Amino acid sequence: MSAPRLKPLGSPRGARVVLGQAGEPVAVVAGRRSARPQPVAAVRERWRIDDEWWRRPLSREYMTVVLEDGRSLTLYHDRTVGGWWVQGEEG
Amino acid sequence: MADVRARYALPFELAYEGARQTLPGRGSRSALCLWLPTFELRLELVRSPALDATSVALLSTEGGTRRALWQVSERAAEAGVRPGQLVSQAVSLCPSLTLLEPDPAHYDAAQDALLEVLAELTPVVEPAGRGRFFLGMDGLARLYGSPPNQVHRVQRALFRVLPGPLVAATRAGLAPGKFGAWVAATEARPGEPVIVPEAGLSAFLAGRSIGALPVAEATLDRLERLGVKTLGELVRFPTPALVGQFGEEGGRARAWATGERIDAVRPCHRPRPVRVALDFAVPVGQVETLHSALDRLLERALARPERRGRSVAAVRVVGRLEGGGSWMVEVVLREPTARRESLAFPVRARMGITPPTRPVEALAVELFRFGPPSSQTGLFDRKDEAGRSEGGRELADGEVPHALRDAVRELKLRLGHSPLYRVVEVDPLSRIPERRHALLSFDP
Repeated sequence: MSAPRLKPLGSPRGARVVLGQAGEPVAVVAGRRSARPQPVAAVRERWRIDDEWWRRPLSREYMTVVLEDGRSLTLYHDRTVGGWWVQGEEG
Repeated sequence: MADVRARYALPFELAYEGARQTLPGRGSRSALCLWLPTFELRLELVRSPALDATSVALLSTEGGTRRALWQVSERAAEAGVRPGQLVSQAVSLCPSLTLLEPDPAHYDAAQDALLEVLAELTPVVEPAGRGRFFLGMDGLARLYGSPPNQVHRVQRALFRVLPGPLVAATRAGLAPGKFGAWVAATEARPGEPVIVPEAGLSAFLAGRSIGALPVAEATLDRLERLGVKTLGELVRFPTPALVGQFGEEGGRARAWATGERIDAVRPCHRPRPVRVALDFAVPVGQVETLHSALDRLLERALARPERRGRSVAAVRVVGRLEGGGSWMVEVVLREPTARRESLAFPVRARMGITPPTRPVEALAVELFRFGPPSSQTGLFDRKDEAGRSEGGRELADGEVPHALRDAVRELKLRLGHSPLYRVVEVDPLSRIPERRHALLSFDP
């Protein structure tokens, strides 16, 4: 019998984010529904995580954005290696 | 006629009471009954023609140490050998008696071949046990001509699947309704069909023995004790008197005897069976090995796409025996199921009663009757406390409901792995979301 397989739940997946002049996200391509950029209607929340500085530092800048189609996404910008990621979707 | 009564009352009754899956509708009033007496023994004699002129008996399919005879040849009957006799009694009466092991798979194959041929002649074919068929003949006059021509046409078609001696032994009766046709077939001689017209049915029935009535053996015995030997004598009693003595059966018997009750022939729905087989490298005689092979075969049969969405109402296990012949057990379930254990349990019990008489070279499982779709809602049904209780008992922590266990087994058979996962906590207070929970493969 093979060993039980463990899969992390809520793993982030890559996203493409179009930024405005002030560095704010104005459109996101992250959807399972569409490959077209979805305009961002509002940024609701922001927070930052800095952790694991003792082994492999991790620094993420999170935000919850509301898209024009009504969906709500939790995005983060990875401040150590760069790039944008989606880690939650509602609606 | 007593012979007819002893051997054929039960399957006929089953056919009448709708135990077989017949399709709804009016059916055919004009019925042709084809009857091949001692069908199985005759098939054996066709296979071994050298035995034709000897005293032969077919052993009963019921195993055990005290085996009885099922069917006997005419020559054996002349020596006093009778169906139902123990082997020891029969051999003492007829020392030269040849005993044959039954080969049910061979008989079923012949029956299926016959059904295929008959279904080409008329869309309304209703089997009533092996070697007996009712054919609906309504509306076939334009195709085949007069009633004698219709019967002739059907008999000629039998040559396509049966050898000449077997066709020659076939008896045919054409009459309104199945009962009339059956009585006509029992009166017919090989090659000389009995055709009963609509107007002559009651007169024809009046002189026949009550032994053909599809009623309980005890009812026939009581009627005979009362001096009622023929259907004509039976109809002299008023219906209330017969109902008073025998209940509803008495009323039905009178209705058949007068010709008032006409049972239409109904097309029999024969769902294509789901069949899986396993060849053993070495013939197997051990019960445990046969049981584990049965489990594997049932799992494979249940996983077959053509079974999906249907529960199983009847299962047949057929074994090819070492040195020739076959062995078979059939189980009809009270409640259709799609669970392997529920199917395996009664089959094992039946195998215990009638085990194979010799080692088995190959084993096959056939699911041949199906029920309504198996319910999937039991897995996570709210009424069932989200699957946390079973049979009124709350499941212990970590205990997996049967239904869920079965569902995972089916999915594994289809996909090669379990696609279900259980959510487990890894570090629920972690600030990093993907570290909090994980999916663990669920394989109970």
